[in-house]
Amino acid sequence: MLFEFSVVLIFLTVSAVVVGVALWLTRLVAPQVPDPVKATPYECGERPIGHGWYNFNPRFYLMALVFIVFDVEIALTYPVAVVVRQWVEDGRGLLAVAEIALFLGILAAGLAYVWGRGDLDWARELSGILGEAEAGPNPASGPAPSPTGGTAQATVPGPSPAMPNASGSPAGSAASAQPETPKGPA
Amino acid sequence: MSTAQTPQPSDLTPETATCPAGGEGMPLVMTTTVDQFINWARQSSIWYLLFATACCGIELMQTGGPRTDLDRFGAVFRSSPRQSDLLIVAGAITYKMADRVRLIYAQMSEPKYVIAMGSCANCGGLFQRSYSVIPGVDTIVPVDIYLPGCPPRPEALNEAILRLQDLMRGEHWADRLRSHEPKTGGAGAGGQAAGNSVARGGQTTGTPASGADAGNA
Amino acid sequence: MKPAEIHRRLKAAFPDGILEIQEGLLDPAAVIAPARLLDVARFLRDDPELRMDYLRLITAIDRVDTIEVVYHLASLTHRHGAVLRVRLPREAPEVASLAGIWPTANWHEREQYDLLGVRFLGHPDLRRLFMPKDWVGHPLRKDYVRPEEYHGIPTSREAARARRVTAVAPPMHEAKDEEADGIMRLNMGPHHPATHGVLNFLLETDGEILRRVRPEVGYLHRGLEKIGELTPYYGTMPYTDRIDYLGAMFTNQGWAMAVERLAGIEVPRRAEFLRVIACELNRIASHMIATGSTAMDTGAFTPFLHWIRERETINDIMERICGARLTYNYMRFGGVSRDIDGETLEKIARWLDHFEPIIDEYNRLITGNEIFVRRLANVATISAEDAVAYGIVGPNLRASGVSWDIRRDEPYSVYPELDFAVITGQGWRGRVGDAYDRYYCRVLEIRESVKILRQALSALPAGKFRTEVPRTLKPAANEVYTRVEGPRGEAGFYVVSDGSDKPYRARYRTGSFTALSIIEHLSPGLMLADLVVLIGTLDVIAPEVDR
Repeated sequence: MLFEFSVVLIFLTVSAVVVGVALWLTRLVAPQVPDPVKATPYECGERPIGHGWYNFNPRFYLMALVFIVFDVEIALTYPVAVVVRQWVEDGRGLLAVAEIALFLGILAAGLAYVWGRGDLDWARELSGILGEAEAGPNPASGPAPSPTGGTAQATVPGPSPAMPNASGSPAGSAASAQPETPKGPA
Repeated sequence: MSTAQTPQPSDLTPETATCPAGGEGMPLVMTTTVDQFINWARQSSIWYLLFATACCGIELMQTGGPRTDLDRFGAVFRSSPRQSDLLIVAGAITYKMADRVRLIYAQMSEPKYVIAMGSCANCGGLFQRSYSVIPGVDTIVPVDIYLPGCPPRPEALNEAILRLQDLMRGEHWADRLRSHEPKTGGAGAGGQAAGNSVARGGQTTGTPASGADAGNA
Repeated sequence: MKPAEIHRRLKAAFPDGILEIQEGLLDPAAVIAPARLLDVARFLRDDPELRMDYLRLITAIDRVDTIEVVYHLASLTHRHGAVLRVRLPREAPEVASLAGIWPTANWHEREQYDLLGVRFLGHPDLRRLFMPKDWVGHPLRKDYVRPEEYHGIPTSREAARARRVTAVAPPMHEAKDEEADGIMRLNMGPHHPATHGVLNFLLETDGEILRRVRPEVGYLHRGLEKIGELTPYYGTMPYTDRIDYLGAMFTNQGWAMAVERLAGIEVPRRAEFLRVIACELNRIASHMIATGSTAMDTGAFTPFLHWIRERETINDIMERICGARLTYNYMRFGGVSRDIDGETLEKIARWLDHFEPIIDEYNRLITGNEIFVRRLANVATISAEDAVAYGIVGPNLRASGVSWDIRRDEPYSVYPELDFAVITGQGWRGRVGDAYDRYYCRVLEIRESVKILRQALSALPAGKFRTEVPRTLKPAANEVYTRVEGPRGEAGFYVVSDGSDKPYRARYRTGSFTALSIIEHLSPGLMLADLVVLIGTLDVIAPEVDR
């Protein structure tokens, strides 16, 4: 069986060699002109206005984590599909189904928990994000605000229907005048 | 980088290929074949930066469309200067935009080329009497091909790409090795042929680049 | 209500505020005392019989000893309008800002401040709109002299030929020390594939949801209005192509109509029909780009290419009509530049037969696609009140439920004889006025244009295609504001003539300018992807914004 792993070794070696040769060829052929202006980050033609090293929103982390878990689940389910025929011939087909169903079921329960808790939504309340944005430069005195928001301040248009709990709380909380605290993924 | 050498398209043979001025003894036959190979690879995959400011941008889009297909030359559009070889300046450039053009050009990696598409990019076009349009994009970046027209027809832009391919065919890989001077902090970011593998200083005024722009006054 | 009646009411309400009624103008105007401007404006907006809810245009004119500011107002409910004028001293041109009454005044006033130096008191954010921050002077003033160079770039071609400039790019932004407040500050543009031109949006976002978006424009400001003052009337026609390159026929027609009104030139019927044919073909071409690029921005690249293929045929037809594919320069004062031959008319008719099924094919490709609908429905809804208050026009306004189309409501040319429907948003897949409505209005307008084209082709009369007009036009001193319904809405031309062969002031009112100004108001709470959809469905193009 160890011999079958040699396929993996060859695969890894060949990919490393291919990448290495490609990079070496580029180094040989391409002009290299390092330049401080060239090294500036590209921001659509402008010089960057914010910090480069920035405290990313922890919601990205949460999304990435959930994604990784289910990506690995798919990756682990594939080998089962490969060997399940062998198991069926051995008469243990029902056991195979039960095992994989258990595996998927545990992960599905985790997904249901995360989904139901609202951790998959990007924002549970918008007031922390909007902050003082509602005091915009055009306090429209005459026209009424958009029918979606119903607030006197920021117009909060309805987000795309993919977000389940979009309509309820944000409108109300955006109108609050309290100083907001930065909302983490509570 | 010396501008003494003006590469002629497609007529290099091992006998007529000369060493770069002051060159060390390089095996000429090998270099020429490598040149041809590298140039063929480069000219067959010219990735151009989507840089359309005004009306010429629409003709650029139409040129990428089904009838005059730029993709058949291997030319696809990219949105990032890091991934592009060619900057097609399509449209009028204002003073406000000029700084951004310079920065974008500087952020492209070598070898990089510029086509000034349309009258506004060539010389300011019909906005020369305006207070806010620069009189030609060659005031801020070195231009390889000037493409007249207002806007140039897709066939004209096609011709410009073909002329650029001719230009690329005449390049020498060996030149690059001697152009390694890193730019100092204050020196030209869009330096005229400095740091590029093509002797372009002579090309900017010399190349007669006209496309067939019949029917476009 | 006729202007005379409006002026009578104004005089009754503000006996001391109205200094003069200019009856002799083609668009009669009332001269207001600068101190009473706010009250007059509020009265005009709130009085139920006047209801001027739509501020079309604010123009400042440099009369050598004074600076005038002219306001064009309109009421979409009562279908009437008014023109106000204030005269300000040149050394200190200050007047109250109307941004509190009509939010659309915000950007108009910033533009006039930038170009002519008029200060608007009470404006929330009075800074330059088009010119760079460190520009010196106000370019549209009559005594403006353009500088020799800017940041090392020479301003004239002769100077440019003398030397090549390759200096390093100077710093454009001072890196401010932002607090670590979790807000990401980003530039979206000017070089960005989804901004439809060189527009910059300064984003403040937490990574996904936008806190604030500030559009930054002027990257394509080519000084078309100044060039309009330096060029004779007939010479400005090619420049109008470049105001809106996707709807060049409309800007051509607007300019021609404005000067024809000034000079009293009649247009023969055949020419009017030829204009309609050219314009509706142009409308189809422009809406193709608008709908196609909306799809492209959401990731669907193929429908756009289908439209590009069809657009090539329209370009061929345009080439047969006027000689150019994109910047047409087709209209002339008194008609069009050349006649159309029977072969071209047949080609148009054949193409229309070929094209109608293509619209269905396009709809099958993308319009009903669930993912596309999810991206557009209920996104960035613009209410009807907001749309009118911010000066939105065209399909954007109609998608918000306001049925206003200049072809029907302020008719011009031969549109009264043609039968077409004005498409208003129905909330087809979401709320009225959301992005999907704006998108679908344009798709339906393509069909309406096909209908109009068929009628125009069959009703095309014989006759002259252009009235004979003197080589040098010197209209009498007057002023006029003419508008046509372009693909992006109202393409308005405010021309002030002084009896010479060049306009004294040429002001262009475009739909994209005001459409862009609403983005800042709509953006808090939008997701980044929704901002892209908003920009795409508003059909903003940079040359219209910046001129």
